[in-house]
Amino acid sequence: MSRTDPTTAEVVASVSAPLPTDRRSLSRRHFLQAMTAATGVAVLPGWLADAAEAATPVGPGDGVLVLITMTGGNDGLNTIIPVDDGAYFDRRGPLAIGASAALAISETRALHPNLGELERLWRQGDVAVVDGVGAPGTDLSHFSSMARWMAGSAGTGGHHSGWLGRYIDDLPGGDDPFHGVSIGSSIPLLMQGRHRQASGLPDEANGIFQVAGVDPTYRRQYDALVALGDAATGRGELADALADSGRRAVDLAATIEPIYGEDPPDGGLSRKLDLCARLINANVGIRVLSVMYGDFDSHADQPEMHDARMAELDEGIRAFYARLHSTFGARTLLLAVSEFGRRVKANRSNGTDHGAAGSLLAIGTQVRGGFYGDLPSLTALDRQGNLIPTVDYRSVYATVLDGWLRADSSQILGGTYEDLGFVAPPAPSRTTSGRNPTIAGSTMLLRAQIIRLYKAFFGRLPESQGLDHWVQARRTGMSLVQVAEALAGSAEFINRYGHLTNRQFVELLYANVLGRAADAGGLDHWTSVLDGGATRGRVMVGFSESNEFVAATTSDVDRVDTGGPVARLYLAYFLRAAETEGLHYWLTSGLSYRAISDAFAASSEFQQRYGNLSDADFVDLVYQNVLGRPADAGGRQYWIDEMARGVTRGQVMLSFSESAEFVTRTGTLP
Amino acid sequence: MPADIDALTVYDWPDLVEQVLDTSAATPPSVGVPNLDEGRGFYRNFVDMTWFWLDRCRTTHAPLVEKMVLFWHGHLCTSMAKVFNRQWVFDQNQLFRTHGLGNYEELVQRVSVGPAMLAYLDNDRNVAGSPNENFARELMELFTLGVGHYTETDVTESARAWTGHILNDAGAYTFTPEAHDWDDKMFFGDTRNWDGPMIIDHIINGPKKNTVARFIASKLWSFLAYPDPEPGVIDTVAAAFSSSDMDIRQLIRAILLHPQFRSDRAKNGLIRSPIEYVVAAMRISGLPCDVAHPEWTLRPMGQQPFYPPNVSGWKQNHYWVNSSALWAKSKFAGNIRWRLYERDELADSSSKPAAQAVDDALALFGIVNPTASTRNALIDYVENERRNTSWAERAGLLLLPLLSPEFQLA
Repeated sequence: MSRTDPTTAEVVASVSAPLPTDRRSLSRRHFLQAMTAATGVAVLPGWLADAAEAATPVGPGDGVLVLITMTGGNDGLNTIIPVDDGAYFDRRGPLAIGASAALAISETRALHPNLGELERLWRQGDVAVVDGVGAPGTDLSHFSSMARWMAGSAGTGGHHSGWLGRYIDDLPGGDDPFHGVSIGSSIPLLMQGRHRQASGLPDEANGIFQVAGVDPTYRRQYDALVALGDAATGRGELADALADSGRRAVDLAATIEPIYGEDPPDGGLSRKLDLCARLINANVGIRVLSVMYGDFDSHADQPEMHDARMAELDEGIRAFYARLHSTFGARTLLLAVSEFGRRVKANRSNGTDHGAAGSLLAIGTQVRGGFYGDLPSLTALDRQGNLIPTVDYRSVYATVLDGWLRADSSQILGGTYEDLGFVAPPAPSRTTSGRNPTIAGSTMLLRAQIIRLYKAFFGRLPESQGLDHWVQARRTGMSLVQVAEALAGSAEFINRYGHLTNRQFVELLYANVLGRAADAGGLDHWTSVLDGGATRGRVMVGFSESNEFVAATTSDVDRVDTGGPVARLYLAYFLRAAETEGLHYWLTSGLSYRAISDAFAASSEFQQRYGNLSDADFVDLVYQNVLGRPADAGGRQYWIDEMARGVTRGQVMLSFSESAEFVTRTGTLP
Repeated sequence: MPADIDALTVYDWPDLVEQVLDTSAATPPSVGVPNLDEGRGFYRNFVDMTWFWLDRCRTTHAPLVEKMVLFWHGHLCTSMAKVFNRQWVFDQNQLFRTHGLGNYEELVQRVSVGPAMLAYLDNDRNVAGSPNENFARELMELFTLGVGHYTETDVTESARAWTGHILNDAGAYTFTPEAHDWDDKMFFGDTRNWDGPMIIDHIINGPKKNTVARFIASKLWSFLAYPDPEPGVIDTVAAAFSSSDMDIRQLIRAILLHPQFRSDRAKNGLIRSPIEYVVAAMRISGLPCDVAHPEWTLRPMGQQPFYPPNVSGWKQNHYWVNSSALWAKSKFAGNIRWRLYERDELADSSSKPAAQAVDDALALFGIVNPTASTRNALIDYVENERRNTSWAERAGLLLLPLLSPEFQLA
């Protein structure tokens, strides 16, 4: 009988299906940003403003798991190579990779040559290799193996849920769409539980509603879609659920869209893992993320296919850690698995056929680096010529469920399996006074991006008022490109540069941003991009956010951050420069300068330093600290009267600290 | 189309039902059959099969035929994720078309020995001495009786009866005597030399006939009216099915004529499955598959044709309601919208009062009885567009009805 081998995509499809995710109202607590009209400064729609709160972060001791499934059967033997085993070279023939080409990680094992980043992590002790992972009596069809790996259950019955889906089933907090995320349009069995499942998110922003920063005409269509659910339909529960689904889909997109960000990496796996890192950074409470990536099914012409997959895997891992915020380093675990390995012996098509046992990788700072399990003998094979597993794959799941995710593996898997010990528990992250570290991180990033735009457009640093204006616009949904477009059309820009042709504009970018004349190729390229319809803002952002310019402006960004009203408040109140942590704390607090000043006036440092001051004493202090002289009688009385009628001490101090005299005296930026 | 609906209102309900049941105007199954040469590639074959089916759904004068193809596809399941031979899967789809309204036993017999089913439920590996129970179990659990109406012994013995019904090397069904278990088997307590097809006959026409009737009636009622029907309702329609000797058309007649079919619960109790949704949109807009491209978005909507997620098919109602499905629906609807826009539909909308413009838009999409909430939301939208002197009013009116609750309900 003839039967065409499935592609791996088809196999994955066979164990994937979308199921309802957000049956109940999406809790408002998940909003990070409001939607805005394209003009910038936001007016929150009433229904949004009422409920916008900080997202619920992952707890300080909670671990996050990113599971990378290499679909089709990765060849573990050519990934972590047994370079001193003669049988490997004998059986693999031309497919074998020799020690001189590979990256040695122990006396007997070496990594595939394309796994440079993985090797670096290995040397840091951040990689565990688990050998011989499989299950006894494995059916070699893709369909059954994939389902079985994903189900992870003790029994042999039908596979209707996956081990991580069952983990999500038991998480507290109701049916939260962010407990688990699967990157891709349908949810693999892996992430389907018995009554809940992960959310499916596409790997590109154009797969979701683009709600932020769109043309107002589209914005109004989304609003209309949301408005369909404003009133009860009067037609029963299903009609109401449908009417409400528009709002939920817009809400979810609004939360998720900013996370996609600009400039994602190329390449399937790198893009997906970059998105995973962004999602983790956004700190919306995601515990498990799933990425499927392939195709590893190298029946024929293995070297080219496998080399490419290994390069992609390595680049993906690098992209992930480049994006992951440092606060999550000790709370994130990467697991790279495949549903079965491949045979030892090469086949006649210069490939290998489906095997039974494979090696998998665990990566992270909490991983106890080293080798686990046992590499099966390459000579004592089973009747089909396959490696005999030494580690039950469910032990891997149990190790992760119990030690990392703090769940009950015996209940989720339906059996008891060994703890392999390859990962320590997650380490709590350091947060600044319980502040959501990612919102803090993103505000500093937003500031840096604006500062760079000013430097690139105007050759100067922004004054704090301008900076604050644009940061606020960004926080409420304006995209960086839109800010750039606004600046490119501003009076200052036009006054400075006249009305430029596209070509002149590109020349200007090279001069301002990269500090050099444009090369002919670059000049032609970017000019044609603009001629082709790209906006100047978009091109500008490409330059101002380039690695080169980011590096070149680090000290400028620092100067702006350590200048400005907050820095002056430190000098005025405490006669000292702000420490970095405190400065960042206040800059990202979202408080007005007046409120910050009030906080300083009421702070324990102030109390310890100055004791209890009367209003008159306070005025004297202000004059002395800020102007370096005693108060004149008239001025003194004026401010005492002001405070008597209700002006706060914070306001008084701020008026002084923001005076031109003090700005000049302190040499800080206005 | 409004005109179509008006034309039908002259008939009373029983007459309408008879018109629906009269499928003699159905397009012959041989029309437009796709070229499924494997050399064209798996994805091309999949697209061609999908277009064949959905364009039929869109243009047929006997929609009931294609509706039942969809029903049987989700009941007597086979998925191309496991059965890679597109011709086999397509042949099964055609079987649903040619036999989906006739005798239920005959349908099950034919589907059971089709290569697609033999491969999907592993009966092609079911040989004497090494029986495979997969098909025998699902035959009873999912296709005819439901859980609890048979024993494990019935499953094992049925599996033995089905041995030898396999595929030959050319991929065609062949009963292979030397692979068949010729010993006596005990099925439903009755011992004889059972063979596979006899089993089907006995299940459907034998002592458990009424159980089968209720099982199928309940599932078909759920598909046409609303899920979890009341037992009393099923009593009536199952009896009609049974007494007609399991004639599917008679069952449908009983369902459509039942007073509960016209209840409020029925009117608001069913959400269109994605395939039904795209077909409705293509039918109302007249756009064919090679313009509307339903195959791009049906999978993220949750229902990719020829790929039921597992042997029990797709679920209903809330199963279809989630954000990623709506994102996909919007992409599909957005494409339809632009095609209608280019065609100048609703051309004079902006010269009419807002309420009139909205009513015209709703009528265009066949929404003859909109909810106040939808109508008001759309009127607000139009008024807002006009305040903003926007060009986009027509574009919005050609999209939003497709995403309304009314259009998504069956």
